[in-house]
Amino acid sequence: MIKRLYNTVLKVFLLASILVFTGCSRSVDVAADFPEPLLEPLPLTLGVRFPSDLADFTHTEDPSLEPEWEIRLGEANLRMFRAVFAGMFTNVVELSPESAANAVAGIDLIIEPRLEELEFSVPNQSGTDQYVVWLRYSLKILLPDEQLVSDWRITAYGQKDEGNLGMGSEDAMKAAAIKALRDAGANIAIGFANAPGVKAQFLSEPLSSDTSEAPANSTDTQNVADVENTI
Amino acid sequence: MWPMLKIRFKVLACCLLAHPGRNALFSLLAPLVLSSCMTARVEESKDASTGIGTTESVVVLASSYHTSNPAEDAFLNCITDKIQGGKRKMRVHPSAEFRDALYPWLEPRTAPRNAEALPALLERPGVSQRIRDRDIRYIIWIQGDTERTSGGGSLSCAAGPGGGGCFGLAWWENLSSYEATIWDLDGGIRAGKVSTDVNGTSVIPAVVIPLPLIARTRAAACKGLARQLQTFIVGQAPTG
Repeated sequence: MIKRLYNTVLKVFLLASILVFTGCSRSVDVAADFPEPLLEPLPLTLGVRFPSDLADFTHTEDPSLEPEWEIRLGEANLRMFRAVFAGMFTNVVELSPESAANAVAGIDLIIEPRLEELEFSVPNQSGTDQYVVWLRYSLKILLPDEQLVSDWRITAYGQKDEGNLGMGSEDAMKAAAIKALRDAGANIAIGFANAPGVKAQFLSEPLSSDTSEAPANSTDTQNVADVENTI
Repeated sequence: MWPMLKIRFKVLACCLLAHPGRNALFSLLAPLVLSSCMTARVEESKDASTGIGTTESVVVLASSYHTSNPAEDAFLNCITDKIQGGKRKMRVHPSAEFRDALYPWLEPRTAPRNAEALPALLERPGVSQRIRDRDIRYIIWIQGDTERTSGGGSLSCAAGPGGGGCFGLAWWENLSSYEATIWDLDGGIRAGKVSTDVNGTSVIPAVVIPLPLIARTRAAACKGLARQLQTFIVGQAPTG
């Protein structure tokens, strides 16, 4: 009888320990599919080079009074860029990180995206019911001979409410990250024509309305990029 | 004829007090029910005649968080469920698929800020065709939230080897305020707006056992808004 009671107490203790320890860190693997943008593609052949730190991007942070968060965004980064570039350009060639673009014939420009920064906030920090993710990308735009045209900085934002009773925080963080990635894709797709140096170098003819109109805050982004380039 | 404004004001839950003597339990609970009263107000402003074909659909989207306070996903799901049922049921197209089909034009950053920008969206290459392919007649943009406006009281609980219990009374008041803006994609215009405010007080009285009486303001707001949306779209053209 006592032994049975002891076993029951032990099982409850072990179960509680598992629950406590699994609650000490949160891990989010952001895997999602992204749609191609509904645009008239630019008549250009793009060579895109994904650096390994973009493909393997993982953000780990231990906010105060919060469990540690690990957000893996590498695969989602690649999927987002592949979908967005496929809709933006008539041809896309994926270059390996080491290869030179002039080894592939017919490339008009190269883009090398990097995810420079990921920040997030959770409801305990912000005092709201929102999980929020900010992303900052740098897109190096180069000529086929690797000459730098511009380093275009874009920012992206996504938020998701924590849902009923605050359950499923990993799901909410994942949804916020996916929204931020979609926002980045929208920013790139619509704002590319106005990115520093792009019009002068690659778009000699006027664009149709869908790509010439920049999103609401892309002007700010462009100005920042211009200033950074000037400096 | 338009715009036309209708206002409905309704007291929910308190109507139980109209017949407090039906049975003993009811009489006992009636004073408590009084404390968890909800009042609802529904407003409708119609700018154009509406109607929907049997094959046509609507799509329910959260408004952009860059311009307003978008409704919670749970509220959007509730509205989507409710307007697909009842006598005036409508077909609802999945919002995620619709956003994907029109990507990047309905993202929070890029979505039209108002109905005046709708014609420009419809003129973009491929947009009208994708809407036609899905036979979508209306976009319903939902914004709003539920927030605690006040609260008070005190409730304490204690437990010991001989048992436990709670004593006291806690209360809080919630306000669920939501607004739906309806865009008619056929005409590229704003068809009108429906809004609801539901105010409710929840109480937890406790004498040994706590008895929570929760005013579910968000659920009431969803029900009221969905019903009014059905009337707005499926119902006849406004009179007067």
